[in-house]
Amino acid sequence: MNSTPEPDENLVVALRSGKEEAFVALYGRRRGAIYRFSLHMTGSATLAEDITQEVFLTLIRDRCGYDPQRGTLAGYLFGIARKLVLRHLSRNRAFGDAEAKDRKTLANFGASADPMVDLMRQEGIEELRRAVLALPKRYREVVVLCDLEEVDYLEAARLLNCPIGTVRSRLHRARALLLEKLRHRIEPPSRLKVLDPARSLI
Amino acid sequence: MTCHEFWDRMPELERDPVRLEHEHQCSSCAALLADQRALAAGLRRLARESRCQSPPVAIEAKLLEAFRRQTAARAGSLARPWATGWRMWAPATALAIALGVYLVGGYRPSATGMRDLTTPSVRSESANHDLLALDSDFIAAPYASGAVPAEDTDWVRLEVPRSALIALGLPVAVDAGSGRVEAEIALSANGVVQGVRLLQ
Repeated sequence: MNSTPEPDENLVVALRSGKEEAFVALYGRRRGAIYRFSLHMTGSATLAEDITQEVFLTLIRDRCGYDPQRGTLAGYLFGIARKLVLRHLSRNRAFGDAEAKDRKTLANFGASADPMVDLMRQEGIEELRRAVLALPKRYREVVVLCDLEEVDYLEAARLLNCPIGTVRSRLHRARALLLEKLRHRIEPPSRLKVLDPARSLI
Repeated sequence: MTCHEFWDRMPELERDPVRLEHEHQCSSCAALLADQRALAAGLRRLARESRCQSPPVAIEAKLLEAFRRQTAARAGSLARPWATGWRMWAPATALAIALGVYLVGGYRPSATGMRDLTTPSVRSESANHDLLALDSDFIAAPYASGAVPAEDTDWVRLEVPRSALIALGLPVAVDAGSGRVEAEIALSANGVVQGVRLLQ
């Protein structure tokens, strides 16, 4: 008995020939990542559902542009989800205020003196989730892709249409920003400048 | 190793002895590194906890429905290859026909022998006549489609009160509202007046 999962590319071929089970298998395999990516990027479950639905509807359509020669199916689906997310974010300018709101939330975060200790607790994880959501989108997407969805740097670079070095530097800067956000509540910003690892790198 | 070099060698040389030595010597770098490790652990935990999140089942049901529709439509078009061609050409053909009719009608406006009294050219015609269009041409009622009466149209010849012409929406001079006019009334199959042909 062969337990090796069918490659995505084969499933896409089967899907295009009308095999429902191929679609079910592909959806089951990829829905979570697309949904979570959209959720982490937008912070809205409803939007994430809509985006997930639209991504897979695109795959179903006759003229879906997926070409196995140009990349993986996961990359293709993330790419569509990313476009939809960015379209939403650019439409909804008010979303930019989330960062300001988030600072307020972070100011009330936890009771311990060390926010890094808080990260190991449930509320710390929730705050981290919010901090990720409050990152500027170009940093947010690398954190969500590489740190949360474990997409490799090369795939992320292809998806974001940028050099792999840019992915690395954005990721580094994003982590520094996250640390800064999490520490902001107990330390004055002046000290953070001294400790900012990103600054020592650039 | 300087602090700059220390961070430059991150994260590829996690277990590099020179790097580890700097970590022991420099407390600020060590603190930052500890924070980064805590953050990495937090992100891993967030990723782990998010794993269980997935879209609701209703989405899958909707997508399956869309997939079935799409598959059925594709199968249908494969079974009727002419259908695809027809769908492609029908709008273009309809547009060409409409354009042709418009052009022909535009150059020969009286070709159909019909006049709609609601058109401005007719409305401005012969203000001195009691009826604005007193001739034997067929005059379509304003609410009718304006098409040439069909073959199954019933023609009824009678004397029509001028007021009835007004009721039909035909422009009759207000001061000539009384009296009768000999006319043929076109009745459609369902008895609706399609227009009138004035004989007087």
